[in-house]
Amino acid sequence: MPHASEQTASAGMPLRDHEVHLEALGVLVRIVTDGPAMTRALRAAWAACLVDDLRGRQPAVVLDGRVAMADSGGSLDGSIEILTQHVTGRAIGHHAGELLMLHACVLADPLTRRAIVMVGPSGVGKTTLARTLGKRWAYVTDETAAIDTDLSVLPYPKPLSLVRPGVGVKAQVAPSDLGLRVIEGPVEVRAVVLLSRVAGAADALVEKISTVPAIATLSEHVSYLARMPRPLTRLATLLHRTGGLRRITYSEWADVEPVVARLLDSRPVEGP
Amino acid sequence: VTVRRTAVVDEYTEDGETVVLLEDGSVLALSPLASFVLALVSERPMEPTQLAARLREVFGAPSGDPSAIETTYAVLATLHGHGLIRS
Repeated sequence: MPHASEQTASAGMPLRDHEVHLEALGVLVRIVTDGPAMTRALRAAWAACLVDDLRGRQPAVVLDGRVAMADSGGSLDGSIEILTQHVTGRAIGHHAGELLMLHACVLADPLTRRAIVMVGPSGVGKTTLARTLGKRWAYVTDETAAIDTDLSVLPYPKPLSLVRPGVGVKAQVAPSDLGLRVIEGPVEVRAVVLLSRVAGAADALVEKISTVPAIATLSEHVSYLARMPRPLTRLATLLHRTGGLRRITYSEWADVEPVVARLLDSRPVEGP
Repeated sequence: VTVRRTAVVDEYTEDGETVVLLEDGSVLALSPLASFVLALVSERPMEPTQLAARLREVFGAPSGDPSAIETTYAVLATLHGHGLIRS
């Protein structure tokens, strides 16, 4: 919970320098910062999700950047990483039992709004695919595909968390700073794939997985699975309406590009 | 001794295969044989010998070892191990 100082400027600092508002999966989040440096860093990283005009709305989630700063041992980068994780966690929690939330990277065709949901555990290459193929299609998210019953997905263009060689803390980088396209408004799931990365694999191998094992596999990547009514049927419906789960075994991101093009029935767009 | 089903949070069956969501949050995909046994004991409690007879009818007698009843007990042990049935 925020300190009382959230509500009043301290040391003569304008209130706006102490807080940032952003939207995460449709959830309005207020972050109370520890000062202008954190405010600037958050505004830069979360540029695609900022809300500057609240229009009378009240935040559903309030996070305290001062606590994150303390937890990170006074590291600004560390505190931004912590806050990014908390924003996602709270936004996902807000939709528990309502939306089907898959740990996934999502790309969409900006013209047709068709989206591909690429599911996989951490380290399988979701962020790499987002930062590369997101220049050719549109970056929807690299973290959570929040899917409604009508197959619409809320864009969540959060900062991408990038590993820096020799640095323990990941950099939180706005999609625009990586030249990615972002898309406003819901997109619609056209395909669901499971990513499997195998070093040295030639081309990308695409295999269909039948429904029951696909449900068992996907369930490992669903947040708050048991909170949803009939979650297994919900997964089955998603798979039936999107042509079933496909496993993509690949080595290099470039090999995935033609697969995405085929599944979205679209060609990548060159240039930013 | 009869065998009966226990409750699960959710289950889904397609093409003779069943996937279940258990109380502990784990999800389990069952083999066609285990799915069939679970479906049988869903209708009414049954004895292993009755189950073995039904399995023989549908899947045919196992060739060589193990016997139908041994196969049935193995499936029941698996289902019991996951808490899907009780006696």
